[in-house]
Parts: sequence; C-alpha cells; structure tokens
Amino acid sequence: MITAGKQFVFMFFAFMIVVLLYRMDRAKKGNLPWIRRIAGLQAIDEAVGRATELGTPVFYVPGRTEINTSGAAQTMAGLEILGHVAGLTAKYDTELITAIAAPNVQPVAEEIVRQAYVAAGKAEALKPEMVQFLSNEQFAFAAACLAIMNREHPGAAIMVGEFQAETMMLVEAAAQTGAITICGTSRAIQIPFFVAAADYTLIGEEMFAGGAYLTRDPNKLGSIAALDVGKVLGTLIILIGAITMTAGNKSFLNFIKK
Amino acid sequence: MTSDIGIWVAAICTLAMFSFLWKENSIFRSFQHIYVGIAAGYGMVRQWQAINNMAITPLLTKGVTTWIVPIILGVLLFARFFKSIAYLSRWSVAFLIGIGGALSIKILETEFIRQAQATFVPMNSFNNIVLVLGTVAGLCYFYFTIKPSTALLGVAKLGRYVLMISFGAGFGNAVMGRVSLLISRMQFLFGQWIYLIKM
Repeated sequence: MITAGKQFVFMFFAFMIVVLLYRMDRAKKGNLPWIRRIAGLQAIDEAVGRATELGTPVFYVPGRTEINTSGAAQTMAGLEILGHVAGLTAKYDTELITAIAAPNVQPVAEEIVRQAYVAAGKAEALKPEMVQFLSNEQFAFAAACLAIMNREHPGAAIMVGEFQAETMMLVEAAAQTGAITICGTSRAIQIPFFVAAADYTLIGEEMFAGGAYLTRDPNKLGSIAALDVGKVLGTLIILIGAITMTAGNKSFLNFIKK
Repeated sequence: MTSDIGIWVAAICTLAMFSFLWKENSIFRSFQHIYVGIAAGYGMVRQWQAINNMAITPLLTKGVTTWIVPIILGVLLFARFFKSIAYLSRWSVAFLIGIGGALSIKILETEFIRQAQATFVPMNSFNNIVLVLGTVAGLCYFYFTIKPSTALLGVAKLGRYVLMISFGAGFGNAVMGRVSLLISRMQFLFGQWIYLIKM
C-alpha cells in the first residue's frame, strides 16, 4: 500500500501529526510550553523602536520565494513575522516598506499588513506603498532593494525568508545605511552571509519559531513543542544508527530505508 | 578595442555598476533603474509566454480542457482589484498556499530522514565521530521548548560552535565563488572589450 522506501517516512509523518495535535490541544487547554529566548526575535521590537526614534522607515523583505514552492514554509515564516512588525509600525506610526519579489506573495503580504493595521486601529494609516512588488528577477530585485535602502535610509532592515545569492548585497547595503539588521533564513548556504554581516541572525529553525515566540499563540506554541519532540526523536535515531553501525549491525539502517 | 556594439553596451553597464565601489552616484542609480525596468519587462514577457505556451495554446488548439481550472484560478487573482469581488482572489491564494504547504512536507524526507540516515556511520575514525557528535550537538541547539539542564546547555553550546565553524567554511567557499565571478567579469572587460589580455 505504501511505496517501498517511503514506509518509515510515512510512519514518522503520521507520528508527528499525532504529536502535533496532542501538543496543540494541551497548549489550548492552558499548558503553554516554556520557550527559550531567541535574541534575533527579541531584537525586532528594539529595531522598530529605533526606526521610530530616528523617524526613518522599517524595511522588510519576506524572502524571494513564491508561496507555491518547496520553499513556501520559509516565506510563510517571513510573512508571519511581517504581521508582527506591521503591528509595531502601526502602533508607533512608523513608516513600513515591504519589498516583494514573488508575485503571488504580494496579495498575502498586503492582506497581512492590512490586518495588522486594522487590528491596531490604524486602518487610515495604510498606504499602498507599504507593500511594493519590485521584480521577480533575482538581481533586479536586489538592485531595487539597494536603491530603496540608499534613498530611504531605513532605521531597521528585517529580512526573513528564503534568500539566495542576493543575501550579501541586501544585508551589506542595509548595514551601510546604518540600519539595525535582523535576518533569517534556513538555506544553510546563505546563513553564513547573514551571520557575517547582520546584527542579529535567525538561524534555520529559529525563524520558524518566530510566529509562536512573538505572538505567544497557544496553537503555534504547541506546534513548536511538537517539533521539539521530532527533533529529540531525530537525535535518538542518529545516535542509535551510529551505535548500531559501529557494532556492525545494519538492521536499524535497513529499517529506516524501508 | 572591439567594435561590437553589444560588448560596448555590456562593458559600460558593468563599469556603471562597479562605480558603486567609489560611492552611490547618479550613473550607478541610472543603470540600476534601467536594469530593474528591463527585468520587469523581460519578466512580464516570460510570464505571458509561459501562460500562452503552457495553458492557452493547448486549450485552444488541442482542446486540453483541464487547463480551464488553472486559467480561472489565475484570472481570479485579479479580482482583488475590484472591491466588490475582491474576496474571490482568496480562493486562488489559498490554493497556492496549499500547494506550498504540501511541497514543504517533502522536506521531512529529504532534509530530515535522509540526512539522519547519512550520519549512520561506524564511529571508528575521527571524521565519523565529528560527523555524528557535531550533528547531534547542532540539533540540540535547536531545542526551543525543552528546559535545558547543565548538560544540555553544554551540548547546545558545542552545537553552536559546530554551526559557526560550518558557516565559516561555507562563507569562505562562497567568497571563492564570488571572486571567480569577478575574475570572469575582468576577463570580459580586459579580454573581449579592450583586448588587454589574450583570451
């Protein structure tokens, strides 16, 4: 019934769904999980506050990937954090510039920003320029972001989502304008650029925890706790696999390959 | 020096972009805007070609009616420009997000199970021990909701160092890649444009 080679993946997936539903249910009943401090997310409020004090805009990029690709999870994590940032800019009457590279992310980002402003009671402060589609061509998008940053001198530049070779250009330009830079991606090959040039970096999973960390929503906190169960299980799988292989036993490896 | 007009245009564009190394200036800005404008036009043509070749032509010439559904969903995206029917665009967006969510699930196999499987190595060499312990320590760094004991804190700290070392290696590797891009641009300027070096 299940394709050979996918049986373990299916079992793991089914187990994770059960754990996810259980942890979300527990969180909704008030058993909120404790969550460790994540410096990059903590710094978002400080960065928006700084932009407000300086009277400069907040520049936001929710990655460059479309929402219908395998990188969608990163874009959605970026959009979730955008909602929080938009809520803060609405609260403090700070200008927000969101740069969009993927056409199908544009309506979602517009809706998220609109909802944040409506929730803050600042619907009248909404402007179409708050969410700008620049280009879906990689370096044209980067060039347009550079132009905006050079022209507007943002006090804070927050870039969370999936990025590719344009990472260094974006974060360097932001740093040159004197902005506080908070960046995050789970593309392992691009994280080093953010670590080297940004003030704060959300490394991989940290950005997926962003929504839960910032909103303290029970459902999201429950899902983070469920993911931790998956990670503990992953750790055990690695250790058992390595130990059994050291003992010359391949039965566990064959079980995983099923 | 070449008399090829295409190479001249490419060389001037390259120099205009490199002028940013001196400072942000009007020449750089002009070419930046030209670049963004050309990319917008090029992107639009490419998107239209994709829709035309993939959906409209097969529908009209071969009668492939299944393409009606994505065409309608695509057209609905434009409903957001009309206030009274703006809500219709949400169906298309929901469909796209659903696809993205489903595709993301694939990561469970490729980036989690298969990577874990790749660490199933006998711990009989320094490299293998570093691989297994480094992976485990790196994973421990990403525990968010487990209150850390002193031991877990230590392992997570080790994981942080492992991550930083791998980022350092990755950064160096990428810088090498960027330098090779610069070299190819220099070869273009000095080789194909002003013939200062032999190609």
